[in-house]
Amino acid sequence: MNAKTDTSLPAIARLLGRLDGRMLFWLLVLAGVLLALSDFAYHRHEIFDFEAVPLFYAGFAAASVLVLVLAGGIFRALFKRGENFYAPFSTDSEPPLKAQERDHA
Amino acid sequence: MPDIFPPALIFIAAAIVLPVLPKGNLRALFLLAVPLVAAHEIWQLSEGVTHTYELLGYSLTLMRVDQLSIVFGLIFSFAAFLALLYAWHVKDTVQQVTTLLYAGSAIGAVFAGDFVTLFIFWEGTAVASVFLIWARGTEGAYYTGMRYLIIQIASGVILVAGMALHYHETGSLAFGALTLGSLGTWAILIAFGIKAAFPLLHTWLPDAYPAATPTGTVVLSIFTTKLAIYSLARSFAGTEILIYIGTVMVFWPLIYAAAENDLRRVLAYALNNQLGFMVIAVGIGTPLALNGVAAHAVAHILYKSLLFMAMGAVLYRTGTAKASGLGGLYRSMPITALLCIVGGLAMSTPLFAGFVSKSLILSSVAKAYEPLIWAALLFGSAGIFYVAGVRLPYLAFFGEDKFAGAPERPKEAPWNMLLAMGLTAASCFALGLMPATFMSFLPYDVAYDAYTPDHILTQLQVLSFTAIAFFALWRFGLIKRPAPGILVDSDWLNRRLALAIVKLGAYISRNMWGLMSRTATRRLDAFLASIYRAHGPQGPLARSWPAGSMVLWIAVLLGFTLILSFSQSL
Repeated sequence: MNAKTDTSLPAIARLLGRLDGRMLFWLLVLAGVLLALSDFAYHRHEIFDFEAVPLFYAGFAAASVLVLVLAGGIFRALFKRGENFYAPFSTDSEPPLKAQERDHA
Repeated sequence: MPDIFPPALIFIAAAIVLPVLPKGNLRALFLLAVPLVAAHEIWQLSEGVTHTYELLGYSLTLMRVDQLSIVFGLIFSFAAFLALLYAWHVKDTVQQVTTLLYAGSAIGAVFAGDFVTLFIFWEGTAVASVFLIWARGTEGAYYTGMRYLIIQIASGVILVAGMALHYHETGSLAFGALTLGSLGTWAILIAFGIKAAFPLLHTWLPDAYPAATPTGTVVLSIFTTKLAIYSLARSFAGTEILIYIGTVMVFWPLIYAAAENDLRRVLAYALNNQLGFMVIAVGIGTPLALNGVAAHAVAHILYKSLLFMAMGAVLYRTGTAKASGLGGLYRSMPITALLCIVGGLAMSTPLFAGFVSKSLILSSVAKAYEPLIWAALLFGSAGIFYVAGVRLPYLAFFGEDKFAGAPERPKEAPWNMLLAMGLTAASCFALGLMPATFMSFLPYDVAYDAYTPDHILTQLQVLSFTAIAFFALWRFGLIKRPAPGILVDSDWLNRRLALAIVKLGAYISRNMWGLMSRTATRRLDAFLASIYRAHGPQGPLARSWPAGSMVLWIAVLLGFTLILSFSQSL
């Protein structure tokens, strides 16, 4: 059942269900466009010259994410190993904590 | 000030008393009271040296109070309270005692006025904290704890070596400002750098924190690294090399955090990244920057604790914190999901503590006119929001519902975890909402306004476009839920490469020894065989042993002796 309309779920879950889709994305795009337009409507007091470039902060943030995604992909390709790579000397390959272990913790 | 009891000793005394208290609500209430009493004591302190003691003929300072130590002492006490509330349900005496000892040691180190006192508490944090990893009770946790302990103890050993060298050079044991240059000061910097997770000295952090118990990781995230930041701010403010070390710390861990599957390890790398912000500010060293260090330590302890608490709650309810096994949890853990989102926003969104503290650091770097470092910090701001503010909550709580077909859906976190998370979120909000009050606690009296239109607009642009980029790339399939697996970090060098080299050395030496001993044995055997062939029962010399032969040889010897004697008499 759709989480947005599932009345068996708590109200907060139904609210979050509305965000888990296109709605949040388009709300963010709308907010982003309005904030980007503020670059043209409001004169900032820049310390560095490059800050004066229109949409500098928006572009820098988006580019940063792209760089991280690409770098993360390269790192996964180069450095990813199985979960039992260091077994038995690490917890990575251990099974999920059982209920009684979780109560202990 | 004799009527004030040292806050560290309050924790240590409570740790001694605790085991005799019956397990249950009374003990849990006692645990909660300890940090509150300590915070009250810290609040009463006035600046100056308040407690001294004698050790081996040296006059040492147990309590040196100034605004920097008060800020760290207060946040350590308050964070200990939140962590103990979060762990209200834990009945394990070992974890309870070691949490008190760990918090007490960290607070003791913060108020230490000399390197000897600092060393005692420094090692106290190392020994106490490892039990939070071992408390998981698995073989992997045991080995991880041993690695963690070795590195933490090594940090203490290097600190004491640095202290001894520094004392030999200057005659001073005072824990104060140092100028980097001598071997002793370098050793002290490295000791601090290990706990601050400097590049290549950092691997204990993402190794150990995800291995601890759900509550233990929250406690671990509070003290050790921030104690190191405090120590750097105390001794190495304005040391230029820290700017560059901090810049590497901002970049490198973010890439790992962006690719990791274990979400508690993502937070460990994200923590490492935020330590980079503070290390840079220590390197800048101006009053504005040092206020930024103290403010960001406070904000960071709160919002990172909140995120670790949220992931701890997920681990507690589902048994895993790996993104590959999570998704759609907002349906059954909506309050935890909401508080996790708040934790992500608290890192740098206006109205939250992280916005104020990061603005302080960014402004201090801008005022020092360091454009490349400033750009690195801006990258770090966007990056940390991507990995811990958007990606992490999305992977844990949204997307595909991994528990749809499960016989029983995970339950919402227990009341104590929710209350602790709620109070932590409220604290982040309160500090962001009242920046003037927040700033009044900081060490230096510097006028600063974080809520200028410039700061607010630029920061909102960074945050909104970071989130837009994430969701757009997710829709295009360029960001995916990670598959199971680990990312090998530089500890591969000592865990695999060094081990392989040692094994290879042992193999070569074992085989060389075998070859040498085989050759020597063969030669000896051949030699003995040749003697046996000559002199054995069947040998040619054995055959010539009859009396005639003996008489002949004796005659030869006598003849030779006669010739010699005759020649000498001539």
